[in-house]
Amino acid sequence: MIFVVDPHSGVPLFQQLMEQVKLAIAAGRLQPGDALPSVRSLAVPLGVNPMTISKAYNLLQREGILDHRPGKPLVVAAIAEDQLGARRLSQLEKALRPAAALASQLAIEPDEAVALYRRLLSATKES
Amino acid sequence: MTWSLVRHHPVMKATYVKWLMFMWISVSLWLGIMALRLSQGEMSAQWISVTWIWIAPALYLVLGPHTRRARELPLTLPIPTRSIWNAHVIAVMLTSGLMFAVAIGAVDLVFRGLLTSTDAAENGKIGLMAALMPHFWLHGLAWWLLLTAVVLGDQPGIVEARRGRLWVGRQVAYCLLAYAGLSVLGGGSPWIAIVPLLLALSLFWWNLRRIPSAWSLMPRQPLPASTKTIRPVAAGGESGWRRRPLWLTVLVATSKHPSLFGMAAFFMAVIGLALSGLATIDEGGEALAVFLIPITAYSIFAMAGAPLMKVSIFDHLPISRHHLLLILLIPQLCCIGVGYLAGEVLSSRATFTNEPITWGSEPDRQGLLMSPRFFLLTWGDVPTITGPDGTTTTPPADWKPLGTYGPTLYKPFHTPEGASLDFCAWQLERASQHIFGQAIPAEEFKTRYLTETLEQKVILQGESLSLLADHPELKPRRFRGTTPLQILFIGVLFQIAYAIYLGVLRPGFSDKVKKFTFAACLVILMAIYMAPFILGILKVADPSGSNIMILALGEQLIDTMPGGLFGLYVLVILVLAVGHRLVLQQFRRAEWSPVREDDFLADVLG
Amino acid sequence: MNVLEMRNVSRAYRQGEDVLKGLDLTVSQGEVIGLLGRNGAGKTTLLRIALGLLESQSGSVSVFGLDPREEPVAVKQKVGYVSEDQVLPGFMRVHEVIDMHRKLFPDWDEELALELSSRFHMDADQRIKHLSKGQARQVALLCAVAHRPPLLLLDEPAGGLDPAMRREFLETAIQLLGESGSTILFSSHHMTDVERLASRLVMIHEGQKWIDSSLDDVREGYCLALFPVSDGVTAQDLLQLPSCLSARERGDAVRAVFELDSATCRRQLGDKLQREEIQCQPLPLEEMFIELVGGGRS
Repeated sequence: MIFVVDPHSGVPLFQQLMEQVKLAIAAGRLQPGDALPSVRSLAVPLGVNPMTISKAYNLLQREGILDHRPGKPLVVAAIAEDQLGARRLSQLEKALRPAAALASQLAIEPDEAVALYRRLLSATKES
Repeated sequence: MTWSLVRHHPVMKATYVKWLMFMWISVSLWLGIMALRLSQGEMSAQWISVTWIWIAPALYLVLGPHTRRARELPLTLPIPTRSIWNAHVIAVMLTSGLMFAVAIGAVDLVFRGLLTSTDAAENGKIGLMAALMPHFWLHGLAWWLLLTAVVLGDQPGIVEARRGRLWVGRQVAYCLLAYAGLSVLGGGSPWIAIVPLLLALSLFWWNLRRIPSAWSLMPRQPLPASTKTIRPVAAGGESGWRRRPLWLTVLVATSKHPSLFGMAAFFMAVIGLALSGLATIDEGGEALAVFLIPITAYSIFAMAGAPLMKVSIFDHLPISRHHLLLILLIPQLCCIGVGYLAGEVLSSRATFTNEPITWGSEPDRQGLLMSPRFFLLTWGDVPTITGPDGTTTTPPADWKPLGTYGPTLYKPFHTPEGASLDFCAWQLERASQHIFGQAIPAEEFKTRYLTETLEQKVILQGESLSLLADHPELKPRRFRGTTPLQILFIGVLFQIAYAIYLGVLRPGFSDKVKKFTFAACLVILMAIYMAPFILGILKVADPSGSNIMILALGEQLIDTMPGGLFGLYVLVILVLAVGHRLVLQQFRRAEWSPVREDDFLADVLG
Repeated sequence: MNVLEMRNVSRAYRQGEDVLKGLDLTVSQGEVIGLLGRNGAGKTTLLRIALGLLESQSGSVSVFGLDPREEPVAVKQKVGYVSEDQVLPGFMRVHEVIDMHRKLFPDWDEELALELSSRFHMDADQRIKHLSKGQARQVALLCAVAHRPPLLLLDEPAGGLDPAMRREFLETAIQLLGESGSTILFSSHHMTDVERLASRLVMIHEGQKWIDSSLDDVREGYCLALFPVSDGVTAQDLLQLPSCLSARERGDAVRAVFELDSATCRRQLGDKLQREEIQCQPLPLEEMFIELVGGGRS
């Protein structure tokens, strides 16, 4: 699991980390029960204040995405199947929202936009 | 354009001031020695004097800052290389020439002044320069020009001459050769000076031809490949001689160049040696020792003040201010102390040949004569002396600079004209007690040394009073009170100056004020040092009088104080301890400004 | 006990030219404070007053409960200091500099010093004056960090260094944070470094604190609104609005910084100006700096 942060984007770093964890879980790269790298081991390679990583982990814990056992590293919490599906969709929704706004700005008809999206999906599946 | 370049040349701006100070101090140090020798009627080898005049400016020429021909700004502008070179030559010549002038002028002026105020003038000796070398100006000028031309011609193509070991060797060789030339040829006819003059002019011309069309920052040829490998940092630190104590690190880091620090240590030891009176040992030497008090305070002040320019490097480290102050003071005091001790050891082994007591028969120098350093000090009027035979006399006041109620030096063993044999013998006995610490009985004087003429005039039996020769166990006593008084006055002068300067290193004062205060303290200390000379030149007072006053004061204090010599030392230590506390208080509150590369004062004082 | 407490600190170098005016700052253990401000705003002065190199002309300063002017040695033993214009003595060799620091700091960690010196490829025999700017700064950083100081004061430590060197510095500071729980107070112009390292931002402007809050609050609490000039909205109009911190014209747009998060700003501006589609976006730190001190009102 490789994390990347972009200090230029304007999005808080802890938020970026949280999003990346959620995406990884939704995409199946992180399975329930997988341990996450410790704060210390991430801080120097990422070049971030350890407190930022702690904050991300704590918030993920509060959202129930990560589990904490005393004396053990943080692990991905167990997820029910339907929950997993909902999470995946919510990730996709995040990516699509700006596209929808853009389509509206460009005054493209919803049907046209959906057709374009379908074409892109098939193209990606083939490659 | 060229003149503007000259004005802003780095050599003009500050560094020559540093060398001027160094040279002024070194000249002054030897002035004291020369002055004493001269006033005793001797003249030391003329070449010592010439050497000393030559050394400081020559050092400046060979080791000084003239290797950098141009700063970066003029190089990037469309200024012809020739203008830059000319400006460089002019600047160097102006500053080194100034130094020569000051050296020669200082020595000549003071000697002239001294000589007119002592007997040497009556013996027909004239100004030092005239006595040494009739055409010294001309020869000196010619050889100096030659040396300048040779030195400037070293590596003309690059902006900054490379100063490696070979360079140092070359510079020293140039200096020695020019000195040899001056020594050998300088005493002769003025026409000989044409030789070095012509050589100098042709060298100047040749240098001008050799400058390139464009200056290079580095020579074209790369240096040979480096054979060094990286040595990683050792665990636990270095061992043996590589472990440097903190005080050494601080002192070396705050001086302009690490070797300067070594030179300074040597210089302080020499001051200590001179301070112990060794230089004029066969005269007892203590008078010189007193004379050097202000210049010692000056040196300590300069040595403790200059590092303050760079001490901010260490400001963020956990070194206490007291520790820092001690680092600035103790090593140099130790160097002085070592020199002083060496002087004392050597002095204690000295043999004295000059008779301290003589008998004169000339009309204006008659009766008991003794070396002035044994005079007594009193305040106000000279007391009347009454002998056992009833003769009373009031000795004339020998030195009375402040008028009726001021300090007075007098010879308590004065024998007026027409005094009886008994009186003279009695005075001689008292004199021998005072000078040797052990009385030669009056009877011995009456029988062995003195006799009375038919006109009731007391004269010598033989040629002279050979007291030392006849009594080998006797030695003129050493002045034990001098050392504590030296310590006291040097310490107090330094502490006052330093406290004043530290008081200005605070937020409210601009850089200008700080620089001015430092310079002012130096100037005032130097003025105190030169005061006896000036007074002597102006014929106001004999320059050696103040020295003898302190000698006498020291001895009289020991005699009158409870605890004697020990008591005097305790008093001195107490006074200096109080002064130290005050200085430390100022030191703690001072704020060091951060180091800037072009700091004028850092340049001035290294 | 707070690591650093400054109350009503003022300092002027010349009469009437205050560099710091009545500044208060409290730093707790473990915080990482990014000090921002234009050149000459007073950041260096603040750091020097914290270390006791300068005296504050009013108020009080306490570091770990000690007054840095009264007990300088005790304070300095707990502090590591690196400054852009720090001068290491040119003639000293690397090992001599390290050796001097080793002796001065009782808490010196030899292993950390060795680790850093090999990571930075230091040559023990090299003289400081022959090192490049970055290498000399590395020596200074090693000496400041190797005794694991509870408080690290950094005055533009990476000023003038290449990005790779800057990253090394950042990583060293983070390592110290992680391993020793140190508190860091640093000033920098590299906003990316500030974003990565700081947990709290303090911006100094004209001698006073202009911003003092956590990095996340700053991010969420400020946004940039953009209006094309052709829209007719002028900088003056925007400056009248209550939460507007600065507004200026740049090229063909009016840029205004608001002390609101993007969503709230969009809503309020939409109401006030009777417009839809107001462009409000979060503000990268560098942009915020430029907008605030480039064209702001005090």
